[in-house]
Amino acid sequence: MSDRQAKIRELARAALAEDRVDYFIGWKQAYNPSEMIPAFVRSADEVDQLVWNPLAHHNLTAFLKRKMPDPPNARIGICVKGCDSRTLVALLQEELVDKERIYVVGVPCDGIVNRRRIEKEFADEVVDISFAGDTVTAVTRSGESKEFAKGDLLFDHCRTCRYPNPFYADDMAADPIVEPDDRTPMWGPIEEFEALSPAEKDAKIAEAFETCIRCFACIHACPVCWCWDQCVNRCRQPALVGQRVDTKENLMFQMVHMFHVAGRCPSCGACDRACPVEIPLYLLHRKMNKELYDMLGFEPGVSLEEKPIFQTFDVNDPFGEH
Amino acid sequence: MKFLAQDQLQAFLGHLAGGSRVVVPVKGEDGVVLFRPWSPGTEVELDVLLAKQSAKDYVFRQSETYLRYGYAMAGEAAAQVDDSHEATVVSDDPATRKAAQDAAVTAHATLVAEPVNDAPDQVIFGLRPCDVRGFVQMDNVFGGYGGFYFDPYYNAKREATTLVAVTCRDPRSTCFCTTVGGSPDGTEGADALVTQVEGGFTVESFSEKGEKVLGFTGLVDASTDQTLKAETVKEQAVDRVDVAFELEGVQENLRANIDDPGWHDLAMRCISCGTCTYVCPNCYCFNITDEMVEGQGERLRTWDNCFNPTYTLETSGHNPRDMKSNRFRNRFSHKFWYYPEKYDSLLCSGCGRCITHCPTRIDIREVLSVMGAPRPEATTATGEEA
Repeated sequence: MSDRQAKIRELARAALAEDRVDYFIGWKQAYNPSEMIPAFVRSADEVDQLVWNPLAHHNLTAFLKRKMPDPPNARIGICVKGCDSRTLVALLQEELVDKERIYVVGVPCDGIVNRRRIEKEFADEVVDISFAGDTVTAVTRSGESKEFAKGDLLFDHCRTCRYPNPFYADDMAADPIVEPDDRTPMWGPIEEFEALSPAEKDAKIAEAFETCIRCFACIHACPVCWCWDQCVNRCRQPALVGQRVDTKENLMFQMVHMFHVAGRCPSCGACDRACPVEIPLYLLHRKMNKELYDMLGFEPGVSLEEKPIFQTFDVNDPFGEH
Repeated sequence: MKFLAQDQLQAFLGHLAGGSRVVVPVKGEDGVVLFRPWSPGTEVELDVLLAKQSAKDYVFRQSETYLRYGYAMAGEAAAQVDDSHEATVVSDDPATRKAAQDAAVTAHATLVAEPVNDAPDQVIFGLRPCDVRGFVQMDNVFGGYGGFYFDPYYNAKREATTLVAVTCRDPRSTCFCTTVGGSPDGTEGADALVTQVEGGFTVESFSEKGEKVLGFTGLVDASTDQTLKAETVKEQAVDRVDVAFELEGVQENLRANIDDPGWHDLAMRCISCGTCTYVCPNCYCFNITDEMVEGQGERLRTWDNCFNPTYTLETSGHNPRDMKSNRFRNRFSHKFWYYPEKYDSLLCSGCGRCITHCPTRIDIREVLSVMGAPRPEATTATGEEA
């Protein structure tokens, strides 16, 4: 773990010292060690704030999409995990990011810990989370502490991850870790959902989307949702999505997002983790991933040579057979 | 001071629910705590300090219908429209036919508009003193303070609402109410305050509405011991809240630092979503939309937020806050500079929700420590002397 952190710092320091980038994006600790946030480092002597640990959940490639870089033509160094690299590949496939303007440090990833799972174990505030081997120790503000097995805390998409190593990187923070031989995706909760009756599905969906506050954190945190500032969901003329905040319109808004990013979204879960009311948005996108895989054998963001599936047309595509 | 035994809580809420809706913090199956209408048996979650959202939505609705409108036609008039439609359509051009029909409809239809302002009596129980101050600060804007506009929709709900706050026993590290003039046992704006002590709650009232809350027969006079224990809870809570930044001079410094490049650095990790404003008990910006389907429509008020990229988009196409750093600067400047200038009060009660719910944990305390303090002689982002 710490080897990767040291290497990230070393690569960032060199890139900044040699003026190959204007700023470098990695992860750092927030106001307490239990929270990780994106770090924007502008000079070589600031790189020691960069941290790598299993709380580094942010998909930083969201900061590459249009209107995010500041200044707009900045040369950016950036860290990517396996799943993050798939959204980067999707952006590159669409030529939305200029390869010449980015310097990519790939970080092989053993899985990211879902902080919210830990948070729910305590009524008090969690102020410290530390790692020793596979043991995770969380401490609250009043000093209560609990130990967890790391495997129990991982995000669902980390447990079923088939691509822990980045697909695209200029330099690596460590040697690639061993990848599973079988790359067949595991769908887990999606198959459980599909087994429900239509009425049960409706009830689940209504329950999930009732609490949406339409803050748009999901689409802003999404790297491949790049018309974010011109979004149809906030457009009032034409009124394709109603402004009223209710279950039906909330679902409509999320459906628009799901269909717009289909073929580019590898279900990295950035939307899910950004959601302040914890709607399991990841499952929505995972479902679309499964449809694409079952129907077309397509996985988003795994090859620079491919185009996103909905930007291609092949008469042999098996539409109509399903 | 009165005392409410823990086992009397449900009966107490049942008493409040006689003639009113009661809203309480409730923990869902997924562990998420939100303010929800209470019904007998609903468990009140007071151990988790802050619900995900403040109770703002129950007074200043996230979406609210102002007005219903539509074209009404009497039976005879409707028949005439059909007749005239038949009689006047002589063109093969669909557009001409449509225009003729529209003209006929307009001639015979009456525009009907019906204002809507539902404000049922309600009691919000279990909100924190910072959430209550949120309403006090919004009152300035919607209440016609200083001759500005009086908002009948907000005020109808505000008047119909009783606020029963609960003392914060265990403030979080992100709480900073005392820095901005509040307190974990603050009573400003509260109709009543309950404090958790052994075996139940002490209850105090501060208004006529609060006195009604005390009408519950299950309340007994608090013993001296219970009163003292409540005081101890309050004192300990105040001690647990850290001073987050120096408030003195923030307003002047924000003004002086408006062009400082530091705003760019702080805004880098902002994703420009609206989470901070929607979980905030004080943010009050809104949008108005007419939504119409087949001649029947509603005028809606919905929350808006200053991080929305189209928030300041003008019809000319110009957007004075086109960059996210501009929008970022606005939120903090509004709360600690322009709003105080206009209303002589801050627009922040220090709940810290914007910190803990921000997808990238933008820290308002850090922003004000940096940009609310004198800045070193700066150069601009382009390297020129500021």
